[in-house]
Amino acid sequence: MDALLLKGVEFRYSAKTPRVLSIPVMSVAAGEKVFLFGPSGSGKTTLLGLIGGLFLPNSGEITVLGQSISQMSHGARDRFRAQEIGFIFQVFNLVSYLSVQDNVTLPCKFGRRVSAGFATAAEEAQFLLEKLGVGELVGKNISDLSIGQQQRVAAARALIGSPGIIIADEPTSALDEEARAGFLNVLFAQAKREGSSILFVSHDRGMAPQFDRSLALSSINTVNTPQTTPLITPLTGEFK
Amino acid sequence: MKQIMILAIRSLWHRRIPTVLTIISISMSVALFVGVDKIREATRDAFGGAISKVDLIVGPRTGTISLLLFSVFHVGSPTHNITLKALEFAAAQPEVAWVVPFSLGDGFHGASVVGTTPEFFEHYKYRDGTSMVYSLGHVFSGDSEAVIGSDVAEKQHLALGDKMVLSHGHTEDGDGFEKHEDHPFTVTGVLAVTGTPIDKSVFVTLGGLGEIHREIGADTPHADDHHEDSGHDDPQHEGEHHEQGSFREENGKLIATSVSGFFLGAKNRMDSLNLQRTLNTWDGDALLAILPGMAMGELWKNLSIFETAMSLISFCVVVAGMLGLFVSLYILSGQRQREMTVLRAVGAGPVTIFTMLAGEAVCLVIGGIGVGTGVMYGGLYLLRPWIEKKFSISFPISGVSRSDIMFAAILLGVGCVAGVLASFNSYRAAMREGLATRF
Repeated sequence: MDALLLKGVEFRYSAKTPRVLSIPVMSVAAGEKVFLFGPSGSGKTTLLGLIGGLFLPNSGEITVLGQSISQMSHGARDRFRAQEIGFIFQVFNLVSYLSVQDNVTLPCKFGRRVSAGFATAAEEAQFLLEKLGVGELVGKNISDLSIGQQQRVAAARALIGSPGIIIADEPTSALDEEARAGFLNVLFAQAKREGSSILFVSHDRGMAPQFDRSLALSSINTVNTPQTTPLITPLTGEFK
Repeated sequence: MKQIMILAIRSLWHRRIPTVLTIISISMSVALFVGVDKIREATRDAFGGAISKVDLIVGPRTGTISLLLFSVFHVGSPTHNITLKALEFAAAQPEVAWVVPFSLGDGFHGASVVGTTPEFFEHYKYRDGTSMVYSLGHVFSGDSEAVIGSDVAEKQHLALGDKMVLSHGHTEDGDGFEKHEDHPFTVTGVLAVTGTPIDKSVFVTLGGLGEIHREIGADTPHADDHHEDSGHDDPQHEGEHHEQGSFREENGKLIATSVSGFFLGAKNRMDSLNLQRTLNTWDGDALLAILPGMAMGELWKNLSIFETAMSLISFCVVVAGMLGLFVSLYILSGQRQREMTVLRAVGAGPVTIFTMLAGEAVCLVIGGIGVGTGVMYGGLYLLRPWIEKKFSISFPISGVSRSDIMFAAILLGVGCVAGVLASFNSYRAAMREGLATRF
């Protein structure tokens, strides 16, 4: 069973705007680590929103772990996202008024179940934070963490309860080279242990070799022109 | 649901400085609104409580309000007097239980000098039938004795046994035109605080009032004139410069022949209207008898424009407070977009997000209303003695009235709508942006 399967997915934000995505087919196998790349504004984040069930496609079907999310009710889709999809963003992953532990266990408050072998979410959070090398941070405030530490805490939150798929949206772009390598290593190790697939999105193709498979969004999306205007238009095309 | 409330409270706590500031701004507007409302109520009570258990106020024929103002509030002065015959006529009516004459027109350092009889203290009540109480001493018994209100005692530093010199007429700075050092009065009684014009009054006998004027000599038409012409029945033509009754002398004592007016109590309140008609249509003096309650209502109707203005201003302040809430939540909504995205990503649905945002707004409104009302009541409680003394306004701290609850409910409703509308901006952004990283 595929962790993720998209078939004939078309999406536009409103009837007046042009199509952003048109993906005839895309899949991620169970346990597979996929690297998805494309320039800014090519619709990567929109695609992740569709997979997470935050938007519904105008047509086509999105199946996550064998369940069609477009068929679900709103409430069921939100619960399904809480249970089976772990998100890691580029920055500002954490809720600033919650402690490190409460941030990690946050998905469990919305329906994610703790992995087998742990009695409580706090116990699993502590375990994951240790595995990710930030165990000593558990009681800290978010504002006391470095960006690298924040990303690891975010990874722990994505991994808690062994969701079927981890969706990472440029999680390393704010990190330096060394922190980036370390982050990928611990993320991969834990995802493997939990049996979660990884869909990793970036515009930086340098990391692609570390994944099982790499995929250009332009190769699966038949709408190829960037449709959304980035707030900051880079003078030289892309950030490196 | 519990999770959402925990999140909302943690979020508010995290932003405690803006949270507290928002609560303060709401509470200040609420406190002002409640305060203005209470002051309005208290003013109305103070006016209405200035006279009680008097069924009719009778005076020369002027206007209802001017008779009320000068007889009860000592504002303005009577243009002419009524004769003792009118008093006797009224007292002779079978429905009448008591009559108490009064003469006004003189001042003592801003206080009014009231010439009356000892029965005044027995019959004239204030605030729902409360009797005047002597904090010290007792009623006057002779023409050289005076009973003073609490305010007079305090401001003029007068104690029992002190001598005071009353003046003739009223002037702005409190002293009369002429002082009469020859006839000092001895303070025999000091009244307790009533929160009514009584506090700012000096009470003497009618004869005592006459003594003030006796010494003026030939330039006054009063005492001297009248004891030659004691049958003088036409008070309209009396005293050109001021009026405080006229007198004749009997065995060296001055007996009033005319007074400014009198208070009247009926045996049965139901007879008040009949008595009013009888007195108003008497063919002796041109009398005006008024029912204090009705006159007070008429006075209040004239003052209602100020009430309305006060209410309007306080209402505007509340609107400003609510706008402040709206603005602060609206500005915050932009800053909270990332937080909303994270919550969405970990599985929070639209209902959860909205409940959380609206819950925070409602917490702010409830906090503001609670603090504001608390501060106002607490403040009133603490300041009450001072306000009562300073302004002669009594603040009965009544329990929370139904109108208070209504008002709180309306404020809560308006505040919640403002808060929820502002939060809706956050909510809509959270839904529209999905996972987009905008910062």
